Amino acid sequence: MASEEELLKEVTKNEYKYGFTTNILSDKAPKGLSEDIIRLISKKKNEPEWLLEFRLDSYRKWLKMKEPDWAHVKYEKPNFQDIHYYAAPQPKKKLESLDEVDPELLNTFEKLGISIDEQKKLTGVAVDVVMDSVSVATSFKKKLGELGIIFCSFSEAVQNHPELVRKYMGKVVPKSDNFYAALNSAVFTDGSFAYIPPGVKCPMELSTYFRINEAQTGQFERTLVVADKGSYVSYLEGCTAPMRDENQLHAAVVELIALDDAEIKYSTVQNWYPGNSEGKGGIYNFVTKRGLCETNSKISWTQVETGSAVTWKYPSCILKGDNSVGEFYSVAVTNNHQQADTGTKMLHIGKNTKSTIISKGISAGVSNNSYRGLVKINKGATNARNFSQCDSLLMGDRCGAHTFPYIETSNSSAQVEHEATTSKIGEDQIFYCLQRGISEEKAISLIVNGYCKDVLNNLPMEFAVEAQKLLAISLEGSVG
Amino acid sequence: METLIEETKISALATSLSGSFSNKIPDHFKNTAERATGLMSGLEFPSTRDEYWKYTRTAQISKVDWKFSDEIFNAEIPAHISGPKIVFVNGHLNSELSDLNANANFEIGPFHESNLDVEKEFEPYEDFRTNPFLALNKAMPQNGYVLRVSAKSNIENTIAVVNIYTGDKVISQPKNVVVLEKGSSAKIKEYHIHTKNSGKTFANTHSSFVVGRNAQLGIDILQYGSDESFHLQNADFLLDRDSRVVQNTFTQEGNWTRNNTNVRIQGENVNANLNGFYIPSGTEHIDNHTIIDHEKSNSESNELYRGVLLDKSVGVFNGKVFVRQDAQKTNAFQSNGNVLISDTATMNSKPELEIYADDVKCSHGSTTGQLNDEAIYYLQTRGVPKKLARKMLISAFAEDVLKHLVSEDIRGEIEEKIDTKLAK
Repeated sequence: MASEEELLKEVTKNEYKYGFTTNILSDKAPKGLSEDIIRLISKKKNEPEWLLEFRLDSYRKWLKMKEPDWAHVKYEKPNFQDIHYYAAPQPKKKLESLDEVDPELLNTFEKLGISIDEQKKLTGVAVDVVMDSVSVATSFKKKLGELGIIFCSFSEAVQNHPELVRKYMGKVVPKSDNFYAALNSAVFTDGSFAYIPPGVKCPMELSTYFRINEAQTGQFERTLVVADKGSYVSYLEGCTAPMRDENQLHAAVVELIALDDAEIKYSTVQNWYPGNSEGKGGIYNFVTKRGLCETNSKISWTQVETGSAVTWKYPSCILKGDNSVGEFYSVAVTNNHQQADTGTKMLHIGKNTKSTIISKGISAGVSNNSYRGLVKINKGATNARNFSQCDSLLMGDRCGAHTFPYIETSNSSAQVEHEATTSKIGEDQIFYCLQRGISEEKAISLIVNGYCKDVLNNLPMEFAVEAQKLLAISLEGSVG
Repeated sequence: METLIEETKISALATSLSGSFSNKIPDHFKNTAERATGLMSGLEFPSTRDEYWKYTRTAQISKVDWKFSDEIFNAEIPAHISGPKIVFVNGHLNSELSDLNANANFEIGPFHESNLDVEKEFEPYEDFRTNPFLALNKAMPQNGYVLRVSAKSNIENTIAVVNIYTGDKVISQPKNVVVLEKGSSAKIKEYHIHTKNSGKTFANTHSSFVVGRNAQLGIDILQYGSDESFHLQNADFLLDRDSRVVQNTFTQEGNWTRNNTNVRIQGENVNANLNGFYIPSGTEHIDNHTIIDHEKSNSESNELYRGVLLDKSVGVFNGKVFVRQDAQKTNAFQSNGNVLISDTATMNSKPELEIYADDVKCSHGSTTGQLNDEAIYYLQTRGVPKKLARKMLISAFAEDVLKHLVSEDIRGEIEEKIDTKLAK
């Protein structure tokens, strides 16, 4: 392992490959946050009165809240008055075809390797493009419409399906849930909305690409996915962001609701700008993600986290209904000065509820990677079952890997298991590969891939490929 | 809320306690006590909002008008405790009950007569903010035992330390110091007995263990609380290179028990073992907090905590392992297993790892569940009654901890306690 140091050096040299800015005129609100700004956002988006009330109430609650400091991360606190809370690409007429989309925007997606065109034809993925907070293109809408599936931007949903939005919004993540959820509830600009009617199996994977584009615009996305009784949906979320020196704040809220017998599969690949090798810049990713499971339903979170300077994210499942199932599969990679504090919460309320947690952390450089999770078995959760496995892999002697699991059990018939290991790649494993003519870099790549297999296997096909690429890029140098 | 906070200041408790404090503070400790008194002002009783006290409430302690007691009680001590022993009642030495045969190899005596000063070594690690009770103990330390074993000496017999807490609304704050010089070894068994039906008792103990090079320390702790007892036991270990330590904590009974064990591994090739077994019943609350801090390389730590929870009891385990950047080649293992016997019992387990070195092997495991139905059925098919089958399985579960016993002679009373608690 003599070359370890060299490899690390190479890693730190690796520049963010997706760092570029698209020049599109944007319509910005003045910097700062106040009730007036919130009224402005609401007015711009032509929102109904109840939504404005929702925003204002959240804002008032947010004012009384303190920024949480319990996470194992250190960062410069964002100045909330120095952020544009609204930025939208120039308003345009409703788009029916790709020709009407700004070619610059299309270019951006081509650079990201997700040409909408190609996706439409080849992969059968409906992409709801979110560019700086406002959706500008939605594809496959008609096809989905035939099945009664609603998949649109959040603002459209507010206009066209207010009864659904009003019924489910804030149900899983209440306004005052936490500091950043409250902030999001007050100022969210757009996001995605999906509704799958009873008994419908969504024929394609719904996908949204988020992209932070305008400098100094915090992006406050809001996603709401409702799977009605007996339905199934697989939802993909992937992110890249351009290179910036100043820290950008991203505080999203994702709410999933799986009604009786429904299943939601939510996959994320997150590759936002992690800052340069000195730890300057990078995205702050403070996300609240939570799903509610009714009887016999299932919610599965899969995430591959490679980007962001600071990540603070705990996709959770409230297993309310009997026989409901929650799953969490995660790979979190930190390099250079990145910090990640991520994990999950599994709240077992119903009988015979099951949850599985597989978390794989990889830390390199001088980064810190923490798993923080809660498994709570309530008194009524008879025969609840949980299995958690949290492994950490350390690459380099200046990084940190931490595990903070909370296990609270109040039912004797419950079975809860947690195990965690921390180690580095075994020299014997590498030696074994070298013996068989596999180079050291390839060997490490092989071992890391195997290490993450349990999680990557749970990603949809298209994503799995991208995720593997990302893993390779994130650890380039030490992983081939 | 405003007025409540005022009442929950720990310095207010200290002020009200100072009237009844009659112990003499040894000269070498006076500075420490003054400093602790100073730092205590403004500190509040911890609440469940403090991470360190998330699962354990101290409100009940803050509501009692505690006082020190210097009445001499002729308390009964368990008859089977043989060999050299030192006995304290409510933080005062009871020389009649004590039976010490000290020799040239080691010194043992009460804290107040000792001039063994180890405070400086622990100073940087004190955190009164997370544990203000530690400041309270240091501000008003009562008599505990001081044991010094000279270099290369080996004490054959296990030294028994018996602490008895009795009276109503009585607080006791024994301060213990153990120094093992290089190459020495010692075995200790500590009894903490809160007498039954005497009223509310609160023991806030602190022990400092300084284990020198190549020294070996074995310590068994038996905690017998009462229905109204509060038992808070703080222990700090400093381990030098090549030393080996085993601490076994058996929480037999008690209304409210909290154990804080902090281990600093300051040399290479150290072997540290913390084990514990608890079997709370009724509404008993037991909390084991451990921190093992690997500061140097090539050391190994093992933790094994097992619990059986009955009735409406609450168990807490919080184990933290730090591995510092310099602590390469560290092996740290931690395991917490719990069996919930009743539907109303609760177990909160929080095994933590904080690792900053890469060439390490660390793992932790935590399980909470019930007895295996199939195993019980297997025994039943072979003519073993269900109750006995259950007992056999729990005995086997406890055996994993019991096999680490330093003094085998206490095995009987631990097994007996398991039997009586399960028979209820």
